[in-house]
Amino acid sequence: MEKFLSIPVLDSNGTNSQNQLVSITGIKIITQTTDTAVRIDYVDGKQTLLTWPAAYSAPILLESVETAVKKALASGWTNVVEQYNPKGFVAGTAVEEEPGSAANTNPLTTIAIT
Amino acid sequence: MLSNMEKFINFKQLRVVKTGAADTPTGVQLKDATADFTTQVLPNAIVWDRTTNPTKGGEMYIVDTVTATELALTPIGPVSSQGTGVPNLATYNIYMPEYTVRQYGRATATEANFLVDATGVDFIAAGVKVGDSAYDITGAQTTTVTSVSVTKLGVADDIFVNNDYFLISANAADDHDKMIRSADVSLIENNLVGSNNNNQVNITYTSVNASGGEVVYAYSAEARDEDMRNALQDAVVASLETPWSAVAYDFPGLLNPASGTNATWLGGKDFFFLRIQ
Repeated sequence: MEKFLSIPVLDSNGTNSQNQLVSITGIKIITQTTDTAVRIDYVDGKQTLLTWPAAYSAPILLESVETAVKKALASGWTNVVEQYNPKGFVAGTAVEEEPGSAANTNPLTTIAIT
Repeated sequence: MLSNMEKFINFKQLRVVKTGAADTPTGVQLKDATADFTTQVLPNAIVWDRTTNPTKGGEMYIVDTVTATELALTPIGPVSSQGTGVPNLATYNIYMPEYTVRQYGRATATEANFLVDATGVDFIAAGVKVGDSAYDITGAQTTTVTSVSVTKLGVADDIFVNNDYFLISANAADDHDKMIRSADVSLIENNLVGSNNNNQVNITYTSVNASGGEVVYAYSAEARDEDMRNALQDAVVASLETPWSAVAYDFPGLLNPASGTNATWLGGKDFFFLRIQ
């Protein structure tokens, strides 16, 4: 099954945010590496690093992501995308000038894949 | 379409409550002049010296007594790998398998059957609950919390007076969920078999690019080398036998029938997970 979390993250202008898909298929382990970062390690060796704008001591962010992953993987195979609002996130309104963007509060700062 | 199920084993991993670098011990101890252990550590905590004997997984201890800068220790783990104290400059991690510290502080008033701290603490926000332990560090006595407000705790015994240092703790392990993949496993084996390092089990995956998993655990002085490896193998099988929607299989725990110290070391529960990665 192919499954993704859809996570709000700051867009390129650094003010508003858009949702980005992060794969949760083939995860080996999830680790909170700092008070603001969670790393997803995949079984093929790739990694995705999620970075929060505010600090939460371990294991708060780890448990948040693990819970979201478990919930998404337990849903039916046609539910390909599960919305995940990161810890501290507050939904805002859509920004008309930037299709797909929203003036959210505390989206992820970055999602980096290595 | 062939597709593997996404399956995980969920462990209760102890949280690292303190790290640091040791000073020279004068016995089976951890000394650290920069530490204030009484604010974070209670007896039966686990100390992992990760520097000494690294090829055998380091050395582990449990805490007997606690002072501000010194922990008296008892070595645990494989007898041939046991240490004699955490040496100078060794880095250490401390874990709390029996208690979770809620709040440390100093009383600001004397009130019968209450602990008062008006320095800005918030006992409610700290998660203090009725039934938690209240340790009077200054008076070396322990009682039980009977009521909770922001700055005052009701206590069963009238032991606190003004200026007493205190530590409030829950009678439960300071741990959290940590899951690791149990699908696509190709091999589970002890780390460095034959080198007396049986506190780490390695998980190898079928992907050539996978870095593998590591499960590091603490246990008493005696155990069969293969106990944890066998338990992990059983857990992998059990997790894969559950329905696909049961994504995470809770590791059921493991007691150590081989240990002569089973009845006295941390209530007989002999295996504690320190690091899953």
